[in-house]
Amino acid sequence: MNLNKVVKQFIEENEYQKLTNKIIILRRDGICVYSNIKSQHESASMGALMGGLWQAGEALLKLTHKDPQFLSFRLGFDTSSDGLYILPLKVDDQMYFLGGVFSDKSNPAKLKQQLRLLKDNLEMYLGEHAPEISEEKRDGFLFNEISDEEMDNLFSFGGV
Amino acid sequence: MSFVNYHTKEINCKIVYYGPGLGGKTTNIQYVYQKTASKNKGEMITLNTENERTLFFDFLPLDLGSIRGFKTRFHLYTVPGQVFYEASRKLILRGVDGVVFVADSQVDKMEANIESFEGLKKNLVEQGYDINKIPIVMQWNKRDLPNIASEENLEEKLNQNDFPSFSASAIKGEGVFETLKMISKLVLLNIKGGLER
Repeated sequence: MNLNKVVKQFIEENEYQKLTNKIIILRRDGICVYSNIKSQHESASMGALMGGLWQAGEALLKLTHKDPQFLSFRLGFDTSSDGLYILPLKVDDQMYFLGGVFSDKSNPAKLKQQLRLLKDNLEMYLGEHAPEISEEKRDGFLFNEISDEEMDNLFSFGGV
Repeated sequence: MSFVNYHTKEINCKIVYYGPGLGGKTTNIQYVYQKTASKNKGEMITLNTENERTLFFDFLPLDLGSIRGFKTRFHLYTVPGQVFYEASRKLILRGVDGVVFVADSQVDKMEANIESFEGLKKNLVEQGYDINKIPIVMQWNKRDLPNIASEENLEEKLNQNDFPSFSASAIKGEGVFETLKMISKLVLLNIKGGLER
């Protein structure tokens, strides 16, 4: 099983996707690993923005702090009812992010606590299931050659 | 870094449009956005200053078609061009799979082009990239304006590595998709992980 599948299974078995209507787990470069949002494009945009937000926060703190330990940080941008909350996740020595966006919540502090619990449980679960998570390492290049016709097909949606 | 999901047969790649301020990076991806059917694109995200200069980045998620059964998803980013946004440019280059360098062809912008290209090389090296291995495409933009440098001059000053190059007028859409098509092909050819295990 790959990471995306394991994460999806864990979240949905435990119904964490119901915590708020927008939960996303992303790689450090902003690529989405899991999302409960229907639109893949919206997930991609949220991933890019959340990854950018965290990276900007890290860069900012590196100017003022000596060797900050970012795995214990949290990033919030909220009012008493709406906002977003991002937590770092450590999976197999790589940093990922768990982000939640919420609106009209009467108790956002409770949601944040639930997201922290999700983070802890997910890290533990992924640690226990590490041997089952296959990071497919393959040799060589995925494509040795690509014809002009194949490129034309890729771009058949518009433009050239 | 590109991400290939063999189970769902999806490829995700990150392409960054880099270059001097007001060179036409945002115009490139705005044109791509305008000419792409809704089902193939997400919303274009722009993080601008009040006078519409890119502050952090522009972002456009783009679904191209499939190639040998793999769905291809490209994430297009632009960097802010102004010199003082160096920190943002470094962040956006993290995990990049391919770069389009958008040069402003106007004669008086040559110095800004050179400074920006030197910055790109430095930032890539700082992040562990080998400039001879990462896909880069050069775009000579604003060819529709008067007082522009010749393409030979641009090649000589900016393209000593002999990267593929295209003339363009992004505002008219000329050369935009040709450039994107080339960088996409180079990025796809550069993805590690053969089909045979």
